[in-house]
Amino acid sequence: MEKEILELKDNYINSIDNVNGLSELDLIKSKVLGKNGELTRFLKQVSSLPPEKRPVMGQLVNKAKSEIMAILSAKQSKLEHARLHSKLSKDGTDASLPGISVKKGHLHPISLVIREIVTLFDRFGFTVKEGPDIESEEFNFEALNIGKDHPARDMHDTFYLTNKQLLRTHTSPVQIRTMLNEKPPLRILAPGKVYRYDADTSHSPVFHQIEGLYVDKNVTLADLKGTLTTFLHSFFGQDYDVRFRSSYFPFTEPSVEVDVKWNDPGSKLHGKWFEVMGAGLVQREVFRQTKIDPDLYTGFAFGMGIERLAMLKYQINDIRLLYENDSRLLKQF
Amino acid sequence: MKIPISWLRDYVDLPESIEEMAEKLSFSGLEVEEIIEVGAALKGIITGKIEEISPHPDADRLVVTQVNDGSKRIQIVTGATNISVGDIVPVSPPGAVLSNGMKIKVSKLRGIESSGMLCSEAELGVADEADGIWILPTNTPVGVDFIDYAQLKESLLDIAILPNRGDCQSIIGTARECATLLNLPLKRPEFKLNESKAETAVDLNSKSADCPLYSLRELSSCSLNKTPLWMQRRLELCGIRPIQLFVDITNYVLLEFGQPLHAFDTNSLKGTSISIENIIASSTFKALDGQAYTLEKDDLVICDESGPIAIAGVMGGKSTEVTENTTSVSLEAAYFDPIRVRKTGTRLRLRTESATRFEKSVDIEGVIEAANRASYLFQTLAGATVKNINVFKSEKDPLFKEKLLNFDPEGINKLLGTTYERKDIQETLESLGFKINGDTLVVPSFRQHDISELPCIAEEIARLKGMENIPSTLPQGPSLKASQLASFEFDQLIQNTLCARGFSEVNTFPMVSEKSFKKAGLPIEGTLHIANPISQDESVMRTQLFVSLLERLSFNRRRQQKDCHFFEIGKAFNESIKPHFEDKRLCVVASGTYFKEAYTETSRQENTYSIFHMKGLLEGLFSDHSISFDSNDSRTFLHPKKQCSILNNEGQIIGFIGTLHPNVASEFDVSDDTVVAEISFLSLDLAPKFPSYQSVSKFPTIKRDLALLAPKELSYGDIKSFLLANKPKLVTDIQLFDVFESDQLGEDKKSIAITFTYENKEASLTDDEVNKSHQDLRTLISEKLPVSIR
Repeated sequence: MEKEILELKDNYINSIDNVNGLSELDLIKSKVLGKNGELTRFLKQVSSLPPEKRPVMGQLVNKAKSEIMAILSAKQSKLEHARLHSKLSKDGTDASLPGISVKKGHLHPISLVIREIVTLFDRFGFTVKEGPDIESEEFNFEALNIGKDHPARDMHDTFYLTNKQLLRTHTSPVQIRTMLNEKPPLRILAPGKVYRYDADTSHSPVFHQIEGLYVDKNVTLADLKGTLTTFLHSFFGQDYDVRFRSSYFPFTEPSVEVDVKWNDPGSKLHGKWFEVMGAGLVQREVFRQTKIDPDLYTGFAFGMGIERLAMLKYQINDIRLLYENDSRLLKQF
Repeated sequence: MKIPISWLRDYVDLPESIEEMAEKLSFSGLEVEEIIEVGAALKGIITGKIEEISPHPDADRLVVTQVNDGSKRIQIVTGATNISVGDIVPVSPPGAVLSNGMKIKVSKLRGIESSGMLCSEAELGVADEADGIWILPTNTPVGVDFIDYAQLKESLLDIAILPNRGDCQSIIGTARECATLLNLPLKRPEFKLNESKAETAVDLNSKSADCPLYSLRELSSCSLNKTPLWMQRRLELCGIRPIQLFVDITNYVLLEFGQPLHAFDTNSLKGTSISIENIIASSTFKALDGQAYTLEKDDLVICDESGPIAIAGVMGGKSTEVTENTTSVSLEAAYFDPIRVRKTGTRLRLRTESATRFEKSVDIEGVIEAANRASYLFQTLAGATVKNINVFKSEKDPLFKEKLLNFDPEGINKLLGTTYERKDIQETLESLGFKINGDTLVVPSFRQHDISELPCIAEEIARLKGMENIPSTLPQGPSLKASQLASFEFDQLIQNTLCARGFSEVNTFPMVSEKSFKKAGLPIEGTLHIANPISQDESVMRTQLFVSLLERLSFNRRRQQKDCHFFEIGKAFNESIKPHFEDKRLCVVASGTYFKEAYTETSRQENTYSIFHMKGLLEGLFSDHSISFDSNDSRTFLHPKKQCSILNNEGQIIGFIGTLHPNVASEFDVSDDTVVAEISFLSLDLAPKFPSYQSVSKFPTIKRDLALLAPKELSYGDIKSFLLANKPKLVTDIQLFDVFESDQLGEDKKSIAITFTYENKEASLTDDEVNKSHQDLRTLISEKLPVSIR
């Protein structure tokens, strides 16, 4: 009997191995383990054996049974998996078809530049301030030490509104608004639109500036140089030379203009200097106008044209392209 | 201002190469915008004398000339009509090159050989245009190298003079700056004036504080000789047209010293007294240029006994103008108040060479020297008899006092962040003409106007010692940053979200045309107009952003870019908006297909943006701001059935969404499926919301659906607000899941299906309590709403 059981087991294991279909497997299962299955029969016979032989034979049959069952179930999951796979494989989906998605949207290059500048100055603790586009003579000019008959008014061709207000010619009035409302120390950055009555083709009557102001005790021209150099190196690249030229603005003294030397051997601009911003130490007169004690505080201010920076950085050759908003241009940013 | 290098070299021994010096000037505040090489192409131009002129046998408009080139006669055919026998003219023989690069060859004109050309000023690059051949003064030698003789090749520095550097608006002023920068001596022009014993017999009196110094000198027995070529050339190089000797001399000295002068015809002055006064009542004045100008109260004028004869510092009068008959000149040299000159000059739009110098202030100590210099030129070039100068001076005027400041090297270093030695600073200032006595600094007269405080002195040190020598440091103070401006962060959030949703940002001009208003049917009342627009296309401040965005859609459509989803965060303007006439807004427009590629049934169906997509977009963007929508038909530029007002949490209208009205779409030439939304940020609290945590329920929710058969005209908005107001306590969410119409329902009916979520956070819900509650709701709906439950 022992030999028969082992033989039976080996036979079935063998035939399970050769099975190719689930129904065939079911058949084998019932043939061996079913109510009248061959192994079930042996199990029944065990009870008719003499008591001393029963445990040994019982163990033998049960062992054979569990071995067969393990192989059966492994085979079964293998066959089920194969059947599902073959079913899924018949699905006609072409996964190379394109994704169904919305077109990507893009930020305007002017916003990109403003964001980058704001982020860089964020590290120096500068926060954004906003001011109105429609300004008064007082904030746009007079408080900035540009009196009504100051020759520097020639630098600002101004749009006036019929209500006697004007469209700000620079973002500098935000300095005044801030200094009137807050006490030093101050570190602010004011991006925004500005307006100049400038009809020629290389200028735009509307453009963007970003103004910076830093007021504290003991602020020096050296601090201005260090801050702006660090900024320009971050914005353009560490290997871009930066230089400062003496200049004049009514609301700063000393005043400087800042140039950057293009460093990209592959570019037409390589080796050329480009003026990128004006800056200077805040005029004492501006402090007096805003009730800040010029003997106690000093500060520096700077202003730059966003379009100019965007055009340099992205190599856009005509300022008007920035306002056409052709979707094929916008897509590239 | 254009500065001829050869003229500059008269006063300072500049090095051979000027590039380096130009750079030095640029760094120290006199920005050299360009080094212009005049006449660079010219070659082989000589002077010749016309000895014979005969008609051309085959051409009425040409003549044949025989020209003496100094060694032989050459034949030149020309079309010029302003030449006569005996004239000395510039000649370009074969091999010569004109300023435009044209090389001269022997040629035949209508069969007659011509060995070169007679030249005009334009052809030699001296003037932009010319009427005929350049007739040279009769004393010009014949057969000389004319390029050399007339300095036709010249380098010009084109310098942008900053408003505070009036002292540099002259050749000598620039030379002084160069001399300081290069550490070279300045050589002022030397001349010896022979004054006659005669007095300038006139009684001078300034009645105005605007004129503290006025001088007049009679230059009698003047001969109106031809202006020497060198003077003509220098005037032309500086951009001033030579007119006649007397005027040319005043202009020459204006350029040389920066001191404007005026020449009156002595014989046309009425009476023997000249007064300088501010106008009391407005009057008309005929100026040199032949135009009549209206003078207003306070304008400063020079008067003889007949009345105003010049607008001080701006322009002289027609009646006393020097002419070809003038034999005696009365030369004015004065100091006029900068603001006064600027006011009058700006108002009359007379931006003369004189006015632009006076308004940046001239050197009050240099006025008489300039008068002497001009007198000397009158003496030598016009043979004038120079009478004694007559000077009026308000001795008490503060301008005649030395300007004194505290000499504070420590303060200078503190401001610049430098450690320059006291001696070093002192020497630098002295090289600029400052005088230092102990702790007192004397400002030179030519810098009085712009040097007033310590920072001005510090600026002089910074620019002279070189900006590159200022150290670079980072500010020492602690970082002040608390948080970024909320509205700036909010803008960024909106920008990022919209970009992710397929919208691209545009940037447009806030001023639009009146036509755009008309196209959109927007009222023009209450708008802000630009008083001085460049063009009508940009003359009104927009009251709505969408007008600008529709123009951009239209622009793209004309360029075959039809699928555009755009947004802009920008300002709109209106007289009534407090406090600054403006509010910041978001405008979103959607036109054309939305998906990149839509090739499935469902994506094709969803491929155009509807107002419901737009509504969902805004609900998401402004979910922290409790905005709501109110459907109505109040906006004529939108489809009457496809529009809503956007309300803030107080129920005020702050914007709209809608599909464009087909008429407006066609006016702007955009697709009529264009969906537009605009919302003002003015009343919204843009500060980020601090999250407040609510515990989530551990107990399961139960959902119940209801399908309502409603009349078509009953809006879902009304049903929803009824349900929100009357829902049982246990209902925590109401969601619409189906809306449909069909023939079976009937023409005037629609079906609306809603899911109600029941939830109790404290305990498990029982079917009984939900059933009861839901039954109550059903009863209420059937009783109160004109609907039946299906």
